[in-house]
Amino acid sequence: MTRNPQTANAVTRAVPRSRRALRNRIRKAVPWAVISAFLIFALFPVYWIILIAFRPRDDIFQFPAALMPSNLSLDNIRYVWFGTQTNDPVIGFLGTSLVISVTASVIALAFGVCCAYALGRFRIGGKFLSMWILSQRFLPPIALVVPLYLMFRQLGLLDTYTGLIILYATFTIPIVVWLMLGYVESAPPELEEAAYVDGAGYWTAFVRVALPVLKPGLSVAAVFTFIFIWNEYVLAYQLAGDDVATITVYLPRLRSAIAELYGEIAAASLLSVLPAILFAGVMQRFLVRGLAFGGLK
Amino acid sequence: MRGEKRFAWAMAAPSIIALVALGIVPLVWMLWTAFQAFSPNPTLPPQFVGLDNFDSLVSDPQFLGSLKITAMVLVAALFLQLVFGFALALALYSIETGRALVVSLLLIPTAIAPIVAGIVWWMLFNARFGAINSILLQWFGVDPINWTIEMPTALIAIVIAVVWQWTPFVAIILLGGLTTIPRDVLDAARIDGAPARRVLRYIILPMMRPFFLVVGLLMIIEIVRLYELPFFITQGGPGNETVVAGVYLFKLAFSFFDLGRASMMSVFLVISLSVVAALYMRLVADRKASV
Repeated sequence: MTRNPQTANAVTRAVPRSRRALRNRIRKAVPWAVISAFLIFALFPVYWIILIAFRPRDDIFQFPAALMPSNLSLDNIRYVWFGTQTNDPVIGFLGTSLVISVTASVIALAFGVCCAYALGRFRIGGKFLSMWILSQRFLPPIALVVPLYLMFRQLGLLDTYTGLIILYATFTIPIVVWLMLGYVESAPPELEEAAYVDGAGYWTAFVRVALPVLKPGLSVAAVFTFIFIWNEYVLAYQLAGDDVATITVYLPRLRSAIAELYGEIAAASLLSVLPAILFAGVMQRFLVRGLAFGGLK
Repeated sequence: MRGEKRFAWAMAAPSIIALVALGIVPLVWMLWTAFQAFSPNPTLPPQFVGLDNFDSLVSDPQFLGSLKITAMVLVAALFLQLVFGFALALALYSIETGRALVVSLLLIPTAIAPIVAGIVWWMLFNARFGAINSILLQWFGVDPINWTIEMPTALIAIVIAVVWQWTPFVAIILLGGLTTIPRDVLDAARIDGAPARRVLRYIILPMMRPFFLVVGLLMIIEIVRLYELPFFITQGGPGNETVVAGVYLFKLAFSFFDLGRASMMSVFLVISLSVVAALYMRLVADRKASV
């Protein structure tokens, strides 16, 4: 008699518990369902470009398109790598992009970190100066392309490495300042003060003491500027594009050729996005830490 | 003290000079050329024409049409980006393992060059050899759709591509916002037995407001400057139905060589974007003051 209510109690308790376990499992499954759906949406186009890049020409132009990989072929890659009578090999354009991206990034980082240090440590120009520099980030190249075109035409900078490099370096300075300000402000000034006491000048203290502390921030900024420049199309096409042609200018060119070089465009696109894919991992680490408000924490 | 300031200004000078030379000077130049008429022949000097460019621009149906199309893309894409981005951010927030890997993979669309994004979606939407029509036919038995050469599918295609490229970015920014909400606030609400819907409505959403605003402003700027996606996916067609502001600006400047009118349009874009940028900076300053 006395045991009966207990067992009954245990049974009634066991039912909601298993239901709760089920609900818990659903609660855990829903986020993964959402994430999986987005991963498919985000990555399917990447999958498609890889698929087309390695698909033989005859298989590409079939209806309906096969969704799974069938025959593999390196023809498309070979075509863009070595070029043909009508198209130049892709390597030269990748090289141009690399030279411009690296040179302009180095200049932007050098200028930008000095500027961020001046703003963050010595507070020159007050709030106005840092706000003005940061606000430059909001002027997209497309809004300035017309006057820049006229300026460059006047100065003879159209279609030159110099022109594109100074342009990209300038356009990415605000990004560097924006990213580095936070690092400068969170680095303890005591280190440099100790260096001053030891008789170091401002410049020596900056180079020997502050810069090493800022290194992690600099590598993040380098990734951002490199990707920005590597991906830029509007200025690269309108202010250069003949003698000095970057990879982003090369890609649409394949389309305007006699035939639509489907597989070849895919192959060249694939080669062009490799740095971006490698760097997405680096971006991830920084972005989650709160890019929304920039270095201004 | 004076040496310190002198050093600091010397450090900032190269950046300031570069930004004035290639930021301010073109802006001023543009204000000047906006009041001039250019001949397609570059050796002929431009003529001062006063407000002619402004008058012809505001009465130009194509210009007004391009603003309308940009506004349509903006409303549709922004809505989808914020809704999907927030759903994704909540999902990412609630998982414990594998977040870094998932986020790296999700960020690939944002890291890809816009011109490549245009190429990819142009291929996917191709009526005959594209994956989308193939999926629709094989899985759902839907007849091929001429995505990029008919309306409204051409505009839908562009919106999908924009949403694809930027939703992960929106989600990551919002995820950053979610991580700023103190855990104990959420735990307290849960212990008090508040249902998830109310926690979302009364705790999470109010605290996320500044993040929604920031990411919304960033997306407005991205969409106003939209160029590569429509340029590659639809080439502005059918007709001029997907000529967004950026594409029309390029047409004016580099197809019609109407550099005066293009300058006037740039002035218009710069002023609009400056308003957005000012709102953003205001928000950043407020937040900095409050934290």
